[in-house]
Amino acid sequence: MSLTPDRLVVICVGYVAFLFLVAWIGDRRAKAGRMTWLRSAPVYTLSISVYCTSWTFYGAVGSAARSGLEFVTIYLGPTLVFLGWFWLLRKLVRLGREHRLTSIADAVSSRYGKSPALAILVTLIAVVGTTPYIALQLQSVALSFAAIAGEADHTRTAFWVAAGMAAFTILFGTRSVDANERHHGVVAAIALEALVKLAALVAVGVFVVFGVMGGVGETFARMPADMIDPETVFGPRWATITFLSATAIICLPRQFQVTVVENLDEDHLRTASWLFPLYLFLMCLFVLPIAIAGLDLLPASANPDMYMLSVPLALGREDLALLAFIGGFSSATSMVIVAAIALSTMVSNQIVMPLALRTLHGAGAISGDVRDLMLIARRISIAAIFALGFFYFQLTGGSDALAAIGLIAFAGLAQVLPSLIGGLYWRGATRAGAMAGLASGALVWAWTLFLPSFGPDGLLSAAVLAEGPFGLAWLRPEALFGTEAGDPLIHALLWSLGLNTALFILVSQATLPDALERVQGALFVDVFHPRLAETGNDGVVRRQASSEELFVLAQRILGASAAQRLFEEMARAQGIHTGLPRPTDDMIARLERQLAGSIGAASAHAMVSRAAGIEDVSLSELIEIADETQRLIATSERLADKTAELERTAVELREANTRLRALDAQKDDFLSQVSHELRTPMTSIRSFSELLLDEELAPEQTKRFVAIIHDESLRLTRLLNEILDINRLEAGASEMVLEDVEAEAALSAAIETLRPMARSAGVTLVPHAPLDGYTLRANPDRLRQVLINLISNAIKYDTAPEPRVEVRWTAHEGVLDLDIIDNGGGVSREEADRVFSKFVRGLRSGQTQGAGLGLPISRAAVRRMGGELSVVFDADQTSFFRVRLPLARVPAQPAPEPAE
Amino acid sequence: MQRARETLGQGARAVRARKARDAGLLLPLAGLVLLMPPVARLFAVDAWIGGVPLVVAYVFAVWAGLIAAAYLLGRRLGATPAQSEDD
Repeated sequence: MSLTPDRLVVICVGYVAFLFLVAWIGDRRAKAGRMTWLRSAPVYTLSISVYCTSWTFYGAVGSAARSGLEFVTIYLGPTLVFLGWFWLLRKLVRLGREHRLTSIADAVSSRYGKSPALAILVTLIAVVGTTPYIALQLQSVALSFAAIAGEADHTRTAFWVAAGMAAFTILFGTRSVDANERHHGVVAAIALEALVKLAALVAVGVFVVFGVMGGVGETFARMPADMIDPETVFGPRWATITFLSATAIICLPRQFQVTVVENLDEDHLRTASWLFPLYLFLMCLFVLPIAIAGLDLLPASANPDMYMLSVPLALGREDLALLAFIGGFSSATSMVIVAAIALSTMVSNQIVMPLALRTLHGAGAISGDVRDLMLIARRISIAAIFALGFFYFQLTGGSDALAAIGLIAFAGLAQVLPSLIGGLYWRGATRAGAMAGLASGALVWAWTLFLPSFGPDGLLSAAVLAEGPFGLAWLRPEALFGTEAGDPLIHALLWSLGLNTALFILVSQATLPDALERVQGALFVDVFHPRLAETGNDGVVRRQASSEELFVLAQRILGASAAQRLFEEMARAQGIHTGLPRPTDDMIARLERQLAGSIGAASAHAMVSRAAGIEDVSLSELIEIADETQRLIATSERLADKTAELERTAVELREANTRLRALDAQKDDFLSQVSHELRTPMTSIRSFSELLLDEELAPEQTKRFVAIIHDESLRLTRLLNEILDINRLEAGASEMVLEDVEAEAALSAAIETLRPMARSAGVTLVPHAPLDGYTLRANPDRLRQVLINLISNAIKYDTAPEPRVEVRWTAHEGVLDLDIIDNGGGVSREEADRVFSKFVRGLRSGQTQGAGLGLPISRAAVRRMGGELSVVFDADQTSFFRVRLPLARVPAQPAPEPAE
Repeated sequence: MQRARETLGQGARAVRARKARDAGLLLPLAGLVLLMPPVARLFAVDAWIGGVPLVVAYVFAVWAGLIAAAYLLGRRLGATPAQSEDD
């Protein structure tokens, strides 16, 4: 088989098609909720190995051939970081989950009071540091393609690789703006690529060591004498690069993406703590032998960076060379994909969206759903990042400047380290400190390392490099203040990180954090403190709501233009002139109040808390459990009532009871959810009272905090009442007195109560056909509560342009059906099952009240009265709520059937 | 008596959990000490072991040892409840 360029292209395209397939299956399985292997710790670990790019795959061998053992430092740093997972990574992952961090920029800005300026700064550093790295991947694919298929047009190869990867990333990286920014399909694909690159490297290694050299000892026997010099191996570069690579595994945007953002289960980290170092170990095991073989077998002119391909080729093993090529291709593509996703998330969330909202608003073009805009922004960002990488490659392609870019990028991202680590462990760190450290570090890095990396007369003229700018010798890029360290990397790192850390600490000491920064700081530093760990996503966490989410919510409820005006006003009040306001407590409280004007206070709170993201997997699981428990209880009650078929029912009852007992344990979870809901307001109250106790506050601020405390106490009371209510109803603890109730009187009374609300909401209440003569068997208070709950829901969530709500009824066979119908379409089939579960809130329609207990309470009440409350679907898929209650008496002369 | 024994058992468990967490901090530090000068430099001599330069063998052996230790530590940390720290 001869590897012609055409054939190689076919193989590449086939391989990429296979990746598409894997990603597609991964996404589908995730969507269907069947994530068995996708959720596993090994897949998580493999996805972290996106750390090993083509720079590892080809470059490690090249580096070993040039500087001996030094290459392992790139992997020792990450190994040490993962060994210490319990103290750092676990904290990051926990914070990522609790604060819904979407990127490293988000993490840093979140810690320092959601500072937009910090987010933009980190994003810029990430883009500047990563673009060359993407170019490096394109170059390595182009080079390897040429090495294996003979001469080829590098630019063309790089272009098609960039285009293909951009398509893949846009397709699988931006399917939806996931609340968690997780991409299951992409993770599946890069986990597979991780296996491919490991297999390729090990295959070539085994072949070289055992197939060609004849053993480990024999291999090292042919090592050039000067390859490993014991005297210099543990020099300053050894420690520097180990430190740098440890930093990289924490700070690189793509590593943050796979380690923190894509993490599904904190416990996976426990496996990754040894499995990832093991992966790196295996990747490194054969690097030295392959380098030795290359030096031994190939002419001195051969490029060591291509030994992975040229060694098997020289030995006539085209199949192994092809495998190695695919391995390198895998390393390059997986890095590029994840880096592009991470960068595009940052760019679109922190830069494009705020700008776009402002610009589009100016043009009056924004309407409807902001999510579409978000997706477009993200897709354009991805395309732009790839284009940037490609042009960078074209600009510098073929030059040696790219070879060192891996470490240069590491050093750039390392500037984030002081603010990040400081923010995690030091409460005293302030926004101003982080800003000063980051900005100074980034500037020094650019001046001393990044700009000179383009070579003399690249971006800096040779004169500036040699003499300093304007002849100021003390500003020479590679010898600041006359300190020539011999190695530009060490020199740049010392100055940039040194200044960065010093300014970070000094400015932090000199400035005071504002209230929000202090709360965020405490939340980050003490994330594992039992008091906070238990409370988790609550209270102050409402500050984690992203402005975008709240904006979407506001648009849906208030309409596009009103929402725009409100948010702009709130941004101005915060002194922000561009983009969205920061989601501070103030802002959320104000938004809540504003929404309450449209949909009622409790529902507004429910919706805002939901938008603030207090929903996670465990909650939905919990709801399922609660659902099933309720179903089972209903079943066993029905069975108990039946006297016939006693034999069979007894068996079923026993089974149901067994399952109930099993579920009993899970019900404990439900209880903990209840207490969680209670803690939400409690934590707010506590935080604000602490602020009040600790601080000398301005009177108006004091007043505001007290108002929040007051609001939260009211919320707490309401919640407690509802929980007590539903418990009473479900447990049947109190006797429910049933009496004869005039149906017409009960319905009219309920409607009259709601008439003012309907009027202010602009909803027309269609008069119902009179129910004269019908008498229900019910508890009058409960009946009224149920009717008011259902009709007020219909009024609140009728989103039709001309909302109308009406109650129709039909009587048959001793029961009366009351249908509460609005022209807003009702709830969807999916939602219909969920609306009766406890603590389900904020669905677009079919709302529940307060803590999400309104509908469950109504259903329990109706059932206690011997009736049923259900969602009924019309032929046109619209739905309405139906209350069925037993009739005590019907009119002697049946009233005419109500008109349709 | 029974209760006293239980309390004792809980105390021992808590101590074990704390030890595991301490080990979690100790392990990367141990790795750092072993892989960095001056300790690492002790092995930077022109000697060979099993056909492999001593430096290379040393670095890879320490690395493998650290991985094995991390595996054992991960199991112990998994057995201890994640809560109740910083107390």
